[in-house]
Amino acid sequence: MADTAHARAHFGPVHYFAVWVALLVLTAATVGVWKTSLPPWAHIVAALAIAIVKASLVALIFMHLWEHGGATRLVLATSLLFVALLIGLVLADNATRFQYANPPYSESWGEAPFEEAGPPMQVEPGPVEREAEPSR
Amino acid sequence: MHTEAAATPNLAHHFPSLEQQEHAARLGMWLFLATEILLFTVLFTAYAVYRFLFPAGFEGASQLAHVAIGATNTVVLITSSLTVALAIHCARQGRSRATVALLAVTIAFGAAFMVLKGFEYYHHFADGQLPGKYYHYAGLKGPGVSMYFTLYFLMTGLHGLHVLVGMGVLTWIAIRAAREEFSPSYSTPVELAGLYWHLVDLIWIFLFPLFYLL
Amino acid sequence: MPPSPPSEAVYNTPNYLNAEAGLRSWLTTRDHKRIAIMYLVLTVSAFALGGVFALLIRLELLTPGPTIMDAATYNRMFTLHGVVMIFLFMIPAIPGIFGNFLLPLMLGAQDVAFPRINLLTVYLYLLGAVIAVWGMVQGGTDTGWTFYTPYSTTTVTTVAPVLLGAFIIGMSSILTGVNFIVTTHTLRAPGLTWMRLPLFVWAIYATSIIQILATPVLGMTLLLVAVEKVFGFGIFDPVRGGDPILFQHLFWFYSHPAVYIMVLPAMAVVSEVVQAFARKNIFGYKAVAFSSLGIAFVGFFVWGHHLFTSGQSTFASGIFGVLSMFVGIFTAIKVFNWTATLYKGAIHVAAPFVYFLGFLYFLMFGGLTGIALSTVSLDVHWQDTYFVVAHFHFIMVGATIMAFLSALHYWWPKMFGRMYSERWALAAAVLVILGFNATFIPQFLLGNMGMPRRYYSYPEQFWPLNVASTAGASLLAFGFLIVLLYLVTSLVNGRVAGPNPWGSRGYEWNTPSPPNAQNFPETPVITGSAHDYQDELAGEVARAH
Repeated sequence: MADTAHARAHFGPVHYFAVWVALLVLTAATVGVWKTSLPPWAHIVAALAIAIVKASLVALIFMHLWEHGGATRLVLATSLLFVALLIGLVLADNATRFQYANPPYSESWGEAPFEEAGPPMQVEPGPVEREAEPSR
Repeated sequence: MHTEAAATPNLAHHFPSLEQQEHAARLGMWLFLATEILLFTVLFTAYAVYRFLFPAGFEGASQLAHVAIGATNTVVLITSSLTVALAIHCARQGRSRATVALLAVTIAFGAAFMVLKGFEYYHHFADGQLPGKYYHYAGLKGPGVSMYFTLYFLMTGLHGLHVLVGMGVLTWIAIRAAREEFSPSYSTPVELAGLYWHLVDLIWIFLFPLFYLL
Repeated sequence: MPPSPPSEAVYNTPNYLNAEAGLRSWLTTRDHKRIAIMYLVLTVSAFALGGVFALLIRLELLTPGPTIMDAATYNRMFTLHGVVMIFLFMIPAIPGIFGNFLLPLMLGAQDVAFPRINLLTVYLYLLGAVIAVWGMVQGGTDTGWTFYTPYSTTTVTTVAPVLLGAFIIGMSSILTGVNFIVTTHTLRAPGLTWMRLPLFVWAIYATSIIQILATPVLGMTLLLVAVEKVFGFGIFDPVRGGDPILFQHLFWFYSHPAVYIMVLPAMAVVSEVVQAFARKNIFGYKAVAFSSLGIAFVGFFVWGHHLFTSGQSTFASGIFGVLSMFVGIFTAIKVFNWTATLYKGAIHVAAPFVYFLGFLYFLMFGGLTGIALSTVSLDVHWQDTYFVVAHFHFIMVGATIMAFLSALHYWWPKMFGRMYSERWALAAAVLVILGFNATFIPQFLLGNMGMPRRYYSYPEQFWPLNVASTAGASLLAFGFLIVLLYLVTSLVNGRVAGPNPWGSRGYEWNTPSPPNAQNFPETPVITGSAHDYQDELAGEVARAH
């Protein structure tokens, strides 16, 4: 029977250190992007894209998915598909609802028309207020 | 060779070979990791929904996050993934003492992560930045702000729980490694523990930008 | 030719039942067959408990207004009924009993991949069941098994233990799924390729996929409800910006695929039974095998049809409505293929086959009413009426429990080495099928007339049909009781079954009845597919005995 220890060890310390450096660089990049002044949606896309690259490195190399067979890769791929499914379809619902079917004073409420109706709604209407110097 | 014979005691009666058993163990572990991913997905879904509904509140609240601590914790976890990968590598070569040392370093990094997290939580508590109805920080008010902190504590809390469990599992594996239970033909438990630890790192890789940077 | 076991009394020959004696040997067993029997005892007990709650519900509905209980108690009753039936019986029963017993035998394996984890699932089930039932009985939980927010997070009745119990049972379900998938991938005997697998294995495999991907979502969602109830964080509370409908999305993301966790194993059983009792290979093996995967996959895309009237956007409702119709295609393929299998088959009418016929009829009507319900414009009238109740009982009781009974009768001789009384079995089957019709057809009519569900009283115009439904329920219960009685007495009085009383060509029938503790003295080598009725001359299935 083949010496499995030898057959398995395609990745060695060199690969792991290389991935580690790459992950650190990507972490620095994601903090760097945060400090720039891009529109919010670009921040989200960039942050998620970098996170996906980092996650792929960890999964493929640290977790050996690159070396190992189809079944384990299929497991991860399938679960990611269902992650996307759940988040995607739920967001699609909230994004297309009758505006007042979303939680009170959420984005879709826009200029909330019900403030004049007064209590019992205890949630604070917008806009979000920040003190000049928040205590830290 | 002799390693095969020495490792036979680890072969369960219903598996035809050690290789098959190892493949089964790995597949089983990945299936379990899939369940963990789906577990966290519930919270990521809630995050996505509430971020979509309250963009101003979330942006304001995330500026209250301690990016320095978060970034440090990210580096800590990434490095701990490196050390656990190296530990598995050593286990496969039958180098027990190196394995134990690297596992110990990994566990130490996990502890460092928890300590830093503890500082963060303490600061948030002190400032009144608490989940849901307990939120009373005067410096930021409005729709969605308390929801941000609800999700922050739930998600980092669940993640922290997984870090603790991972540390426990790695400790147990380190004890077994110290007892010279692993060899080039049998190091599956180390690999499985490593897979769990890497998942913990993976989840943090997403938590960090979502709560600290966006 | 494999030697047949000696025809003496079954308990004189060594088998898995008498291999080791004593309670402790059972409580610490790693034998998948013993674990299956433990699941049998536990889940059937749960079914009886759930049935008691059902009878109490039907008794209350015998008259308009209060009959034997008040409104609050009624709410507790349907919560108990739903939680016990779904989490303690429907989800674990067929995989736990027949999946555990048969999977290794059908694969030519000595056990499942992780025998100790298998035993753990039994204890997790028991622990979760005790906590959940205790919580409901002691705490008066009245949320329904669906735990909708904001009621579940604000009610004064106890909810947290029930949620915890369900979470623990969910872990049992997940670990069972992991075990079955790994077993199917790694412990198939030499020569057993994927396309030679019994269809039972395909469907159980598909079920396991759902168990792994869907159950954690439920677990986390229920945990969030518990956290909100106990700490008031407000994740579903509109006052904090929370969305109660988010709970429904997350809940049904599991609970719709959950109904496929319930029905796919039933289909697994039926694929085996139809071939054995028509003495014919399945029509369209690949279509049936891949339809199992199709149901598992597409079943995840349709959960929003439970939210049609909850405030979900019409856009999302439209998507979910269309997708819900797609999932019916795979069931239709299976129904067509099972029926085509019967054509020109040598049909042997026995209890398992009678239950299969009941299954087919109930699956069709239950499924068609499901397609009707997936039409938004119709559902807005039927939502939360007895039409929905009848629809899901047609599938869950009509289809799934018929299949469960079919499985029980088909594999009873294999599991216990005894045959039951065929006359009593046929009589009970007729009673059960008639009783079921009498119970639930009136409910379709009631729902269509507008009677709401989960109400302890109703207007007088609904009275006659409710009486009919209660009468039917009594008949149904009586039928189940008879089944229990003759099966249990067969353990003592039944005629010795021999290795293959049905003459089935499934792989599992090539073992003694009951099988030995060790499944196979030597690993079998497979050279043909299961249920090879047309391959008697060529392609003999080789067994090393």
